[in-house]
Amino acid sequence: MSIYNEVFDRCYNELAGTAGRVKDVYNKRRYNRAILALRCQNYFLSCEFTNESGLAGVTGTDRTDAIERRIILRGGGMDACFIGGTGLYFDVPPTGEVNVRVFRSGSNKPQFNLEKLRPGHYFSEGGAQPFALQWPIPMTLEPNEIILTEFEQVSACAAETIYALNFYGVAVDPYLRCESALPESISEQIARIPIQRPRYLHLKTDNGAGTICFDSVISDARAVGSTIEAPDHMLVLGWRRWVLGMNQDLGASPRTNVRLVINGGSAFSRVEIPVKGFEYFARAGDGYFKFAVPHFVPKGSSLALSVTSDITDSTPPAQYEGEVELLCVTV
Amino acid sequence: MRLYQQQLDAQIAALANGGYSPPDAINRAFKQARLNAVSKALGLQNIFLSTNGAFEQTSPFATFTVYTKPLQKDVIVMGCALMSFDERTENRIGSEFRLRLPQPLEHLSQNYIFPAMAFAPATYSVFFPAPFILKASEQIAIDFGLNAPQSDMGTIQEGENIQIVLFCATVKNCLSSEDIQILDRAVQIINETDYQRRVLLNSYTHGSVAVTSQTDSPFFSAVDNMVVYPGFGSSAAITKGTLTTSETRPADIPLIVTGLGLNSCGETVRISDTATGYSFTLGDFVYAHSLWYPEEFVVFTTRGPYFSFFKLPVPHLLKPGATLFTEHLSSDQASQSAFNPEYMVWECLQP
Repeated sequence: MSIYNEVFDRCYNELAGTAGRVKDVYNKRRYNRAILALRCQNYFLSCEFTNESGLAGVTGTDRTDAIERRIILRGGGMDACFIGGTGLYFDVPPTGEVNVRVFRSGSNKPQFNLEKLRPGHYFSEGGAQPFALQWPIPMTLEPNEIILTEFEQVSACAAETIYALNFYGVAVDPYLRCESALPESISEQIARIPIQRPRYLHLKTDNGAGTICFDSVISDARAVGSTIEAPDHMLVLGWRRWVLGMNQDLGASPRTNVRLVINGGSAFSRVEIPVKGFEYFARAGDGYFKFAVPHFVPKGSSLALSVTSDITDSTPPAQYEGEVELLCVTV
Repeated sequence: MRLYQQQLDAQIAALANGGYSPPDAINRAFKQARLNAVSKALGLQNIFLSTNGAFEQTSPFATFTVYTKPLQKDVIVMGCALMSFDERTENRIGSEFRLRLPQPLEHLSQNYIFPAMAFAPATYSVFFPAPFILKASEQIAIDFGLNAPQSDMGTIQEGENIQIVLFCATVKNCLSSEDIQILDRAVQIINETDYQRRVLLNSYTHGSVAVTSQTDSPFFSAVDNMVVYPGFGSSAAITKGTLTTSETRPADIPLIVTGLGLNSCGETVRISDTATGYSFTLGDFVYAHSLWYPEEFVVFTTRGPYFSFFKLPVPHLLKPGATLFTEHLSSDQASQSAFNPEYMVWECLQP
């Protein structure tokens, strides 16, 4: 049962005068979910392919980073947009088609696909399709295992078209490694706040108001955004992003990579990854990219995001890169 | 979705058992779930709480604040949808918004939120991360503006009317004797049937004849099946302020109304249940696109998903003999005009 439905039922029972019966069950679920989130770590993995000439027949390969822990992969998404090129803006859909093979290292394991696939058959290509981002069942990657990808451009596209194929998953710590006072503090908060509250946290740079802002518009320009300190223990359910600075062309985007970390804690990805494979997934009923498991942010902590521009051969009209909102509920 | 999955599970169990009806234990649990759905629908009512505003000047630095009207009862607020009321901007919203909730709730965000990626109805993603309770007589303040006006988006226009609709639900803490009777009738239907069935209720203008845009000839079976602005051809712009109505046939059994499809454009609507006189929009006309626009560019060149109907935030229980009555008002802000004819259909389930 989703957090949303749990909270709705709790609100319903509160107004119907039947809260007494369900309060304990609801609070127990809140506590268990917080502990689960503490045990888990979200991971993002990525492969990408840049077709510099844009010609059909160009091929490329890539692989994900090896992680020393078992990762449960929940799904994957493919960048839908042509980024770069010489247009006035960067959100022209790809004019060409690319096929992709995705397979795991080792011959004795179940494979994703051995044949070439048009990605849209298996991976969401954005456009908010409700299918394919979240796989029907999760699968586990072994420690140090990688995912290999082969791309083949099957019809010509614009030069510098970039395809990013991202995966997201979760690792679970068998031991609950946290400060000993934290579980007690969670219980105290659950007692203090009877019903969980929604909250949107913005990642913002120092000089960007509520936005992520580059100092200048060049390749490899870097910005680090951070949230306010969480006023309570929070669960981050996912994110939404959009891009500013494109005048009427809402949603247009310079090519950027992001790395999401919690200050003083574990990162979501080892390296900065192209996010476009994730961010347009206004999935039906969600409207945001939902993590495999909620991410726990202790009271007083904040999240940070590093963003790098990777502009190929054109210049966006302004340095305002965009906004990232984290969708949260209190524990 | 829960109703769908429950029925699918029951049907799979039935086929696995080599029959049409589910095995006894599953049958009992499924019937109980159906009964729970009816009693919950009886105790819940949708409220589409709308408020409109406009920027006073054309400037990225412009801001304005609107407040929701105070309600007489505590409600659960589940989400919201925003849509530019002004068709000149192609329904895209050229600004951001933030919700400030009354104490003891907190502000939903410190910064402005860009609505198009989630709260434009095209995304069908109108829900907040979690619902919250808004106490009677309290109001929500909604600020419109931009986080980074210096980015010179230039999309804020003077007079750009923006409407926000908050999706709320009221909860009854006891059922009336009439509600109990309906529940008894629902129990009877549930006991007589193995599965729920889908019922589509067409909403149409009485005595209307729908005309195609191609030849201005009537549709096949064109009488009494669509929403029509009488006196206007299919290609003529509907004059601003023109009103027409549509209504469903009466329900013959209690029906759980789960959604609505409406292909309108440039019009506002007001919906009521004729059995109770209850208005979904509290008597206001609400811009149709704010609720059930099936398809739109979410962001530049990225289309939102197509949905055949708008799922009501909570199901509505339509009593036997009742109809759903809709008033359609052409709002024609500029170049866009209401469609003529339109289709409108309510998606329902028998108990």
